[in-house]
Amino acid sequence: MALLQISEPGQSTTPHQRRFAAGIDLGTTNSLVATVRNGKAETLADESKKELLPSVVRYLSNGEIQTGEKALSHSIEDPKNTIISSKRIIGRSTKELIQTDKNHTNEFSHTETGTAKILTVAGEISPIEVASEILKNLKNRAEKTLGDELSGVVITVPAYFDDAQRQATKDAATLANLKVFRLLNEPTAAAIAYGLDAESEGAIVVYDFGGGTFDVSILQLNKGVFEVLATAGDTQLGGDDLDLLIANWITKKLDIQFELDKSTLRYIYNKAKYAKEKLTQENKVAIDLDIDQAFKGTIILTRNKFNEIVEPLVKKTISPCRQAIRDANINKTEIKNVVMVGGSTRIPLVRQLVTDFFEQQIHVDIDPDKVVALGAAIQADILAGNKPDSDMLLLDVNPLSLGIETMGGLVEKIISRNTTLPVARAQEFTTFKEGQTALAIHVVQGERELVDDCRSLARFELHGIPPMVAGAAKIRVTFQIDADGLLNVSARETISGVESQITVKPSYGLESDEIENMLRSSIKHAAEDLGMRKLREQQVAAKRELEAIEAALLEDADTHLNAEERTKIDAAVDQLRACMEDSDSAIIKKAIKNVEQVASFYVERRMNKNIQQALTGHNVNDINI
Amino acid sequence: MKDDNFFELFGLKVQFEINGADLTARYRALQSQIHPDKYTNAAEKERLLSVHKAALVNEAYQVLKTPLPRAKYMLSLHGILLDEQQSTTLMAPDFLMEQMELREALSEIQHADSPIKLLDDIFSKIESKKNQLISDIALKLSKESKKEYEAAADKVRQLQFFIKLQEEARQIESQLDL
Repeated sequence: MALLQISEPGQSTTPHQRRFAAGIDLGTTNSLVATVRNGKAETLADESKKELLPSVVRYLSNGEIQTGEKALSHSIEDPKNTIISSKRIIGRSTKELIQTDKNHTNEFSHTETGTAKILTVAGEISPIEVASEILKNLKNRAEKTLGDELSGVVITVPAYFDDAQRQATKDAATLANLKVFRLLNEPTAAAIAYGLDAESEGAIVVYDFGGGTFDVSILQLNKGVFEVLATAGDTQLGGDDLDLLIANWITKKLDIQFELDKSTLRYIYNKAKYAKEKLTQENKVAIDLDIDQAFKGTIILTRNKFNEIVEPLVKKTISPCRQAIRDANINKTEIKNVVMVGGSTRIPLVRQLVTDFFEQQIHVDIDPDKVVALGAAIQADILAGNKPDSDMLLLDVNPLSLGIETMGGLVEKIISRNTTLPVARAQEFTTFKEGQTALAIHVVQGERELVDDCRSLARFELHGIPPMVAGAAKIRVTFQIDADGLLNVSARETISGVESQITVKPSYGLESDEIENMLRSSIKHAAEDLGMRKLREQQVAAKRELEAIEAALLEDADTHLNAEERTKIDAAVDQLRACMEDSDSAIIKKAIKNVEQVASFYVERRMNKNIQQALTGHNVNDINI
Repeated sequence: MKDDNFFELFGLKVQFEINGADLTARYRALQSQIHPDKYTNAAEKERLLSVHKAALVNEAYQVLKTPLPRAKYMLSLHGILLDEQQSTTLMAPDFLMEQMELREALSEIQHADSPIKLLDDIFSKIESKKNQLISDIALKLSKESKKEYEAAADKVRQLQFFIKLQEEARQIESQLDL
């Protein structure tokens, strides 16, 4: 970490220092990291000049963890301890994995909180830990290339990801010691990469057919503002499924009578993948096979036969396209651009069907594997503050309706699908028994009427309700979804004004002490002291706080503060600056809290001024839409 | 600035007539100042405040941009709360009769010879009824009297019926597509 630079009060610390930031595409099959250098977004390669990092992690009995190519090369001999396509299981329960069986070669265990864990020689591993290994690898790559620490990253997620999956992705970043500026929807990132924000107006379709997921999004552009009008898709449909179809075709063709073991299945699967990739360029492919006691030789697959096998699955992507258009409430003719994302869009049949459906030329110029990472890098650069003049603003929507369980296992919707984020909705609850002091609330996500058909997000209990007669207490619970699509809940008893304590038990995420435990154990390997890490985190937080408040004071202290108020804030700031080198993280934390508290009225005044400023000079005449 | 009035949040007078383009421009200007993305390097407190304000602006925009929620919101400012459950009991018989006829026509569409044409007719009928109701509501809300507000509330209830009908017609349309 760069040394802290201490400046005179009232002077901002290094105002124009460039912050290193990166965009990370955490993909099902491959992951990438990209950054903006010399005004241009580019993906970063590893030492062997490879940009795509296979999203594969292998756990060894000696505690070693392999990632990328190295892990992938052992996937055949050691399938049980090698995790591929972990994105498909992140934020999911074991029960869901069994329901959507995809020939997973790994074994899973039940855990108390319902999250699926993978059984390996190194013990039970959570998909969040797997993702964090990928992120660590990319973080190291970026920091090695850039020569400095990353100030933060933008990580992309499918637009269709629910709260549990987004939360799990963010947890993975925390485990990898990365600051997340923003979780960005993949389609939005792709549109940014194509520079469609510079284009005038109109609807954009992003058709993303990747390794493990399919989604289609409709974005609306207007003067640098992206709005996601609608998203639809299938989190369980991807190029992997095409491989599986081809693998099944091969197995059937060979007419093998006995059950194949896991390594042979993976072997055939890899051959199928190879054939699929070859057929994007050629009209037929020869598949060489060598399976013990069963078959040794070559079989031919033509593109026509391939098309015939995969067409039903590829066609399954069209009905979400239709649904998204309907949800967005637009006509096909209003669509000005169709952007193709994901390796599966290299398949000629896919391009053909999409072109036919949207009745227009499609964008395929940028490498469909890199386009999302490039867009994320551009956004990360802006959010890091490297482009203060940029007026790009991303407005995303809530991908799935959020509701609570009511009597009889029914769902009452609180925040509906496609509501612009961030959003906050309050709901009033009451007690049904005399003297009741606690209340249980079950939050679910999904479009169905029955709780059982939706995803359970969190269960929590409100405690400390003052005892009253039944129905007298009025508890106002506020559900807030932030710009990343993550849920926060707060509650207050409105008659007595008592603030209730909430314990949110994530159904599939991690408890914060679970994160702490994981950090503890991962740090054991890294031979780094947890106390040191905490101290460093607080020092970084203190630096951020100081930079933020000093920049604000420099800008408009005179407008908002009288001499007395200014003295108070300065005193708190000085106190924080004085203790920044302290070795006790608790003291630094306290000083940060103190600054926050003393300056809170000032922060509020500034925000209100911003709102006022936004509205000055706006009348019908200067708008030319 | 007052948090509790959506019109004032957008720097507008409390009135039903709204210029959609102007409202959208104000919305974007507000979001480009207060959206959490503009506060990635700000202090924690400031970021939380920005999430809160941005959520409020989003909600206000959703309410103000469409006539029905806007009318309901204005009525609520005048102390008139509309409850959907109550509405049927208060409707005039000839209005209910008209609704029944439209619904009947809609239910017969799937078996008709030229369903698209019939559906288009129903859509344009609904549209013109809606427009009439919206201009009635605008007029009544512009007169500052309790009696006129109550009359506006009646029209809002009728508007709800047509909007529901329109949704059903859209659903039937999407089934015809397949």
